Amino acid sequence: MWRLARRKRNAVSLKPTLPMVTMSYGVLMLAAVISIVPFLYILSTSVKDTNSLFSYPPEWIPDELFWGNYAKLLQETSFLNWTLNTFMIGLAITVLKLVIDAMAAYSLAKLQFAGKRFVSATLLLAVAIPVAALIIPLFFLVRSMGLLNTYWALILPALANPLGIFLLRSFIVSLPDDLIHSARLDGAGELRIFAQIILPLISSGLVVHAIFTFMLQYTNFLWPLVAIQSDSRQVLTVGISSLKSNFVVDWGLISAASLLATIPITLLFLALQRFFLAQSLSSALKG
Amino acid sequence: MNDTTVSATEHRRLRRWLVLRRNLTAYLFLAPALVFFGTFLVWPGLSLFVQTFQTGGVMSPAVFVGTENWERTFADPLVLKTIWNTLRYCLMAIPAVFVIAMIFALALNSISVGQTAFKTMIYYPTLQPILIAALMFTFVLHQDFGVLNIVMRAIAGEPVNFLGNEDLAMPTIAMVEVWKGMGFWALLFLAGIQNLPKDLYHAAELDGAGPVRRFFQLTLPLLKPTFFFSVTFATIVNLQVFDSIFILTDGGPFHSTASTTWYIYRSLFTFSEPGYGATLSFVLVLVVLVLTAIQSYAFRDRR
Amino acid sequence: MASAAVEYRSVNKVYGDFVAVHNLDLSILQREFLVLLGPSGCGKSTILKLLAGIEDPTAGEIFVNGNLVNYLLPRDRNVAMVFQNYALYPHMSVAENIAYPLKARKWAARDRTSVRDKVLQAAKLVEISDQLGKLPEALSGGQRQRVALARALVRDPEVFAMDEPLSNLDAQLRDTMRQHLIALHRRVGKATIYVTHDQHEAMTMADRVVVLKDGVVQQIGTPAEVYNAPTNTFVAGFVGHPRMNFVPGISLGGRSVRVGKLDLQSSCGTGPEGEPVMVGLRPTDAKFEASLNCIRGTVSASEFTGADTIVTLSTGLSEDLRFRLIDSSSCDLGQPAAFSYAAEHVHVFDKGGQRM
Repeated sequence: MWRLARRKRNAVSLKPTLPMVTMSYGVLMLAAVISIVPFLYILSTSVKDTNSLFSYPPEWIPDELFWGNYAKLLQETSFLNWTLNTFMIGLAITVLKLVIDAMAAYSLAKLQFAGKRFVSATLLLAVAIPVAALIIPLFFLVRSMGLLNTYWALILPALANPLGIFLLRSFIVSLPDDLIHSARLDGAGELRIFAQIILPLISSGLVVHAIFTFMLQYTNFLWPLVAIQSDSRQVLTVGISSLKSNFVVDWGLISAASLLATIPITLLFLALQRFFLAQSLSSALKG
Repeated sequence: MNDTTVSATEHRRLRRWLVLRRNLTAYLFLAPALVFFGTFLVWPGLSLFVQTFQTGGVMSPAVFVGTENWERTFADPLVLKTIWNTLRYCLMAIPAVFVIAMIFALALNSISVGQTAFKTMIYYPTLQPILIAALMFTFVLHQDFGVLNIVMRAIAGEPVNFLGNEDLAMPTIAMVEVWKGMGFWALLFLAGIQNLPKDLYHAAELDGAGPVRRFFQLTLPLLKPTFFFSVTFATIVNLQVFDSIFILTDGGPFHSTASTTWYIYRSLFTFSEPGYGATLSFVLVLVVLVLTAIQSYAFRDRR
Repeated sequence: MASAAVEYRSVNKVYGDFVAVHNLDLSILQREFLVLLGPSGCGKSTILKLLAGIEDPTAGEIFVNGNLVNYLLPRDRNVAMVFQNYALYPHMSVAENIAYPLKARKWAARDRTSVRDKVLQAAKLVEISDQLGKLPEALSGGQRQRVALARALVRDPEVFAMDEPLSNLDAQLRDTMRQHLIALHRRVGKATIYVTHDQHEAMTMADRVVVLKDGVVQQIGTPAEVYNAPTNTFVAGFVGHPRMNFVPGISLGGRSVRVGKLDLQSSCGTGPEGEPVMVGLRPTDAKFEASLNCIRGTVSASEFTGADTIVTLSTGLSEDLRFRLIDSSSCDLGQPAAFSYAAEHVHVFDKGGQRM
């Protein structure tokens, strides 16, 4: 009740003036147009055949919808493979990383042990190491393991990134210590506390972490480009870009691929929007 | 009352056992993370250093060549050019994306109706891999039928070859990255603004501070922690710029968009010189670490 | 009795430079309700945490029923704790919360019906049976407190440790819960260590009170002992409401002291003649009459509380003194008044604050 009253008072008193609101809407309209128009543009390109593509002046909505690009994409390229690979690998990484990072985060947040400062300092320092600088030794490491051109080549190195540990740690740190003390007195071992007390109570943190991990993997380009050579095992990002490296650039085909590739992630976004836009993301990352 | 006695040695033994058990538990929880961290981050990091003194390794076994890679690196004008290009790119992209995102965040903060809808639309480009953004812009910028050139034709009478021009190519790359990044930072800044203590604003309003003064005297200084995180994070990420360059220009024209990461990639796959690439990578690590350290110093709390 | 329920032997706890507990020797008897009383930061909660295994002692030994527990995990100590903020698991229902100690000890797998019975029994004991399906967030503060109690009870531990369990409740609820806790303790009959900063709680609940200051035990005794014969000015000032008046005086030798221009008889010795002493007078021990052994002055304020009136008297001494008056009709502002003390109610402390 009190919070509600307080919020209301703030809203009333700090209400922006009318010109400010008008200006804000103007800015946001422009922002929305800039953000969305390129997508409409490729949508339009993807349903044109090669002839009407280069017509001048260009037409936004072609007289006749041309589905040939999509048919070609699904029939003549490994697009479906790429999509499947991307989501399988992304899912594997997300699940594994969630468990690994949450365990480490619990240890760093709530357990006492020798060398804790050293471990967290080392992990934190590693956040500043540019991953791009490691692709050469990583390439040789993965090759010597015989994993080059396999899904494992994409999954395993992704598990090393310590950023997620710190994200989850900030969620666990904010849980009251007494809750854990109480569980210990109640007879729970650390693994039971982790599984039955910690994990359920940081579920929103886990979702944020999962989204972050998945998106990072979904948008990854350089490492799959280096580690995967076979077309059928490739992921979406590199796969689509390989469509461009032919002598004749098939704009309609690339448009269709780009547009289709946005659909799954858009659905995911709409389903979990609350978490994508969550304020917890920024506050957690700052910690 | 009680005849239990425990000797000092027994105390020490029990104590050691307790401490050992605690350490063991904590490290068991850390173990999976540390195994992957060690194998796929620390170990490559160390072998990177070793590789800077080697040559070959792709088709034939690697051979030690002493400091040859390092000497070549210092003599290679392209190395300096890629570092300069990378920094130039960061100086264009980061301030631009931050200013635009801050304007969007302030605009979002001052409206209530339709906020979620605008947030969703502005955030949308961030969802897509930069590759898709880059491909999209290839069409948008295309000399013959790109929408931007349709506009340019209307204004200037002739199309502009954005990516084929040495002076325009890098700003164009930056523009693509800004387009993709603006939604992410806008929402991050918005969250920061909405977490600020409201009481201060009431006080400022009573003091007669207008919205512009409130922004520069209150919002910006109070957002310092958010900015520190943002600048550091953006620097680390942007110094590795690769995807958009690989797709849009492949370093050209005349290496005007060749970034350090692009050169690393090329030295491995085009020139088959992993040792030289390792040296370049090492230089990139140093650049990132130095810039991160400088930023931490600049943003330290002045007490 | 074979052994104390809990025994602390020369226990110390130091955080860096800060001594939280200094050389604690303390026994809690079987079935005893022992209250640790002191201001915040006096180390009373730390003493509980040491017992529960949440903190390790820097030195010393802690025994539960004669067994050394220093190096045991919290779960193996047979101590149940009730936390100040209840520490209920927010994602579990009341019933799941109460059952958790049994579940965590793998009782559940062994015998499902007996877990059910135990939970119902514990819930009934704290009168929360009708809330079993709710989540903690749907409960009031008092109900949460009861759930926390039930969760401690269900394990049937040797010792209960309670860390300011009533401090988050409003005054009226605190009264009810206090009575409830005392009744519960009588029924369960297990040793209980209860931490509080509220002297009223300590006095009404305790079998024995331990008064603490800066990690050091000031006095251990029954509430009556602590109240009637405080060992130093700290205990004297901390226990009893309204707070004891302290006035500087001079020993006259034997059993009398001079305070200002008045001579007071005490039942305890006052030390050698001419020594400065501190005289303690409880507002509640005063009789409103002019006789021997009395303090005179002018009424400068009076606070009517309902049952009595607290009168503030200007006496020409360095501080104004306060007295309790049962009948306020005969005491007006600005009028002279006198309050007398029986000799056993005149407490005398030496320069260092220790009782003579």
